[in-house]
Amino acid sequence: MIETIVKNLEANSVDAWRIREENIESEEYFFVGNKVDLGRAKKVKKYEVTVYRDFEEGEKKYRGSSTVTISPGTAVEEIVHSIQEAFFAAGFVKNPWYPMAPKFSRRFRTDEHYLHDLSGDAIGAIFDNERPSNSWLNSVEIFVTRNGYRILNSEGLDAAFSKYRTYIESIVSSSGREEVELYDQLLLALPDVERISERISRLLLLVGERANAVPTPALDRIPVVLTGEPVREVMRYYLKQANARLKYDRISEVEPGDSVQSGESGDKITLEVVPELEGSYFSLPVDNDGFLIGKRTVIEKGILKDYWGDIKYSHYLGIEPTGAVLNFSVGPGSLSIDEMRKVDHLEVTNFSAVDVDETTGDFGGEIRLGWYFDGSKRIALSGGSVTGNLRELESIYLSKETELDGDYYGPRSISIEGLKVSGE
Amino acid sequence: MKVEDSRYLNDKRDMMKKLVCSLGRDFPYVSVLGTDVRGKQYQVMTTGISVNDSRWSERGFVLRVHDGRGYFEFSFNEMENQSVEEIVKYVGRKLSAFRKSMNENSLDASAVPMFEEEESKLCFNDEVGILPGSLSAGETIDRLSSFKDRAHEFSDEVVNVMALMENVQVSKLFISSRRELSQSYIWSQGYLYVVARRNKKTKYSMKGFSGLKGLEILDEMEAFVGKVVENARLLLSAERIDPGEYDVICSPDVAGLIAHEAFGHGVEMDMFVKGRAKAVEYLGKRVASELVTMHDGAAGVREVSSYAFDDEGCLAKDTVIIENGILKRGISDLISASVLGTEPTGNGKRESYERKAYARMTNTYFSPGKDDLKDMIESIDYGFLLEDYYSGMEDPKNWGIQCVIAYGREIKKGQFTGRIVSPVMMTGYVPSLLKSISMVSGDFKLSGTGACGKGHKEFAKVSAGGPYIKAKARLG
Repeated sequence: MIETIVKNLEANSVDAWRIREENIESEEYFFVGNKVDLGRAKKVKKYEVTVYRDFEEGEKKYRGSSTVTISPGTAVEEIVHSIQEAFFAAGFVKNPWYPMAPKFSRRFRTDEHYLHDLSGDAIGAIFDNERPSNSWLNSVEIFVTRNGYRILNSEGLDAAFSKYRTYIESIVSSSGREEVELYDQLLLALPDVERISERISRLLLLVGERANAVPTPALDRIPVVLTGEPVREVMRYYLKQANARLKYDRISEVEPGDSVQSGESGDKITLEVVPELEGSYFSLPVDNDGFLIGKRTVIEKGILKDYWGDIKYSHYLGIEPTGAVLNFSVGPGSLSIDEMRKVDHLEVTNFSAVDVDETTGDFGGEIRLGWYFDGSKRIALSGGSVTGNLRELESIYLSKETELDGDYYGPRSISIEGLKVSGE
Repeated sequence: MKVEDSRYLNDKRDMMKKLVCSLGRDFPYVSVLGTDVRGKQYQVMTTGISVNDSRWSERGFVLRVHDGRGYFEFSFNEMENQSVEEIVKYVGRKLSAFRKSMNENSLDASAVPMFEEEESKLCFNDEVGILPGSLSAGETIDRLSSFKDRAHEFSDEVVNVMALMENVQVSKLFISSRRELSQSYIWSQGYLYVVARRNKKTKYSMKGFSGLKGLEILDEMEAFVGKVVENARLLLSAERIDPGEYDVICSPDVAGLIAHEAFGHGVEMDMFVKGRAKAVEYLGKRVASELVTMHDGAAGVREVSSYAFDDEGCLAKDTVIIENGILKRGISDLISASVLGTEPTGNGKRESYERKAYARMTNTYFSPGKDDLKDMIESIDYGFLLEDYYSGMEDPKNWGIQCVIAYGREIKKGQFTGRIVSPVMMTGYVPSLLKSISMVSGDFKLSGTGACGKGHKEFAKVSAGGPYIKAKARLG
C-alpha cells in the first residue's frame, strides 16, 4: 500500500509528503465483577497521508498542507482522488513555511511479546489482590495493544518502531454509610504486575474511605492539598504555558525570562519535557513528524527558560524543536506530605473530573473523595467543589515525595492557598 | 438533497454476507457491521489554517459472534475475497485464546443470553439542504476567513479567533442471518471561538452549531459572529461567584447538559447490569418535579445522533425516561438488554468500528413546558441566568453532578443587574436539583457539538437540550 501511495504522490507532483502507517493488534476483556461479559480482538491497519503545497506571495513563503486517511483495500482511483483533492485544498492553507523532519532511517528495536501473555499478566495482577472486607472490584476493562508505526517523508525519512499499551479502567465499590464507587484509569506500556496490584489495592482502600465520607461543609478559604491525578493536571497547565503552539496561538503569554507563576509564595516550579519515563506508554523515540524527540528543561525555578514543541511551531518561534514530547517531569518541593497535613486543610485525591483551563487558568472540580483536617481529626468528605484560578494563588507548595503516573513524574501532593471550597 | 450510499460498503456487501454464512456454520449468531464515515474539517484561526479529514473518519468492520455462552467481537479493516476464510480462522483462534485465558486465571465468562433478532430489512438515505461537495475547499476557507476577519473588526481586545466547520457523511451496513440494514446521513458541526484579553486577563467565548445538515450551517454561524465577540468581552469584566445555593434559570444548552449528565448517564442500562446505577432503586418513583419529562431517542428528533439503526442492528426508538417527574425506564445496548431481559432501545453505539458498543445516549432532552422566559426572570428575587458550558461529569452511583458553566448573569428583583460571574461550577445531588424545577419554558433547542465520553473514553456523537428551566442549584 505504501508503494502505491508514494507512486501516486510523486505522479501528482506534490511539493512534499509524509506518510504515517499504523498497525494495531489488541485483546480486550470486559469484566463485570470477576466474570467477563465480552471478549474482543482487533487487527487494523491505517495510513495517514499529509500532502504539502509550497507557494509564495511577494517575498513571503507559505506551506499549506492537508491530511487524509486511507484504509487498506481502498481502490487506486480513490487514493488518487484523495491525494489530488488534498493537494488542491493545501493551496488555500496559507500558513508560513516550515521545514519537514530531516532525513534519517532507523528501525527502533522493541522486545516482542505475545498479547495473550500480556493480558494474562494484567488479569492476574488485578484479580489476585487481597481485598478489604467492605470494598470490591465492581467492573474492569482491560485493553492490551501492540501498535506498530512507520513514518516516511519526501526528504527521505523512514523511521519505524512499535510499542505496547496496557489500559485498565477500574470501578471499585464499597459499602458503608451508603454504597459508593471510585473510577480509575491506569495507562502503562507493559502490564507491570506490581504497579497494577498496588494501584488496585490503594483504590480499594480509598473507596472504603469514601463509603464513610460525610458531605463537604462550606469551608471557603482553607489550604487545599491535592494528591495524585489532580496534581498532574495542575502541573500540565504549566507545561502548556511553555508550549510553542500555545505561544504562537496567543494563548500562552509568557516570554523566556518571565515567571509562569503569578507571584504567589511557596515553591518555584522546575519542569522538563522528557522522551522516556520508565513504564510510560507515552515514551516515544520520534513524534508524528518522524522527528527525534529530545529532552529540555523549559521552566526553571518558576521562570520560563525555553519553549518546547514540534518542528512546525518551533520554527515559527525560531527555537530548536524538541519534537512533540508527551512525557514531563517536575522537580520536588520543600515540604513533606506530612508537613502539608499538619495544619488545618482540605485534601482531595479524587474529583469527578479535574477541569484546568489552559487559556484562563481556571481550576475546578466536584469532590468525590477528600478529607478535612480541623487540627485534630481527619474526616473523609464527598460532594461540594473546589474552584479558583491558577493565576491568582496566594501560595503553592510542592511535596518532597514524588511519583510516576502515566506521562508525569513529579511531586505527589501540592498544597495551595487561594482556592474556594463550596459545600453544604 | 439526498445523501448517497457508500460505494465501498455496497462493494463489500456480498463478502459480508459470505462471512456471516461461513461463521454461521460454527456459531448460532453472527453479525457484521460495516462502517464508512468520511468527512472534512476546515479550520481558520488568526494564526493559521487547516484542512484535514475529520477525526470521525473510519472505514472498517466489526464482527460479532455468540458461541452459546456469550458474545465475542473482532474488529478489522481488510476484507478481500481471499481473506474471508482467514478472518474465519482468526476469529476461531482468538475466541479459543479468550476462553483459555479465563480458565488459566480461574475466572468465569458470564452467561450472556443470545438476543433473538426479528427479521428486518431497511435502506435509509437522509436528506440535507446543501451537500458538502457544493463548495470547494477554497470557497469554504474564504467563508470561514470572513468570519474571523469580522470578529477582529469588532474589537482590538480580540487576540485570537477560530472558525471551524466539519461535515461528516456516515454510512453503515449491518448484516446478520436475519437482518440487512443500511443507512447514510450527513451531520455537520461548527464552532466560533473568540479569545479576548484586557490588562493581562484572558477569557474566551465559544458558540457551537450542529445538526443533520450540510453547508447551510455556515449561514447560521455567520449570524453569530458579533454575539460571540460580545460575550468574550463581557467575560473580561466577570467576577467569581460566592459559593452558595441560588435560584437559577438554565438556558436550553445548560438544561441539556443537566439532562445528559444527571439522568442520561444514570440510566444507561449497562450501568444497571454492573450495579453502578442508583436509578434502579427509583424506577417508578419520583425523581424530579412533575414539570419534568425527559426523553432520549435517535428517532424522536433530528440532531447529530438521529439515525435509523444503532451499531448493533437495533432500530432507533424514542424513549421517555422521566414522565411528569416519575422515572420510567433506561436506555440499553443489546448485551445489557439480553442480561436484563428487556427490549433493546436502539442505544448501542460505538466510537468506531474498532470499539465495543456500549449503552450510550442519542439525543437527550427535557420536553418544553408552558412558562414564558420573561416571567421566569421576573420571578427571581436573587439568582443567575446560566448560559453556555465548558464540560460536565456524572456520578451514576451516587447521583452527583459536575457542570462547568461558562457564565451567569446576575438577576435582582426580576431584573438583570449587568453583573457577570464566570466560570460557574454547578454541583449537587441530581434528584434535589430536578425536584427543585419550578418553571419550564415553552422554548425548545437541541445542540450536538463536541462528543460524549463513557467515563473518560469512548467518545460518541450525542445531542442534548430542551427549554429554559428554573431551579435551585449549588454554585461555586
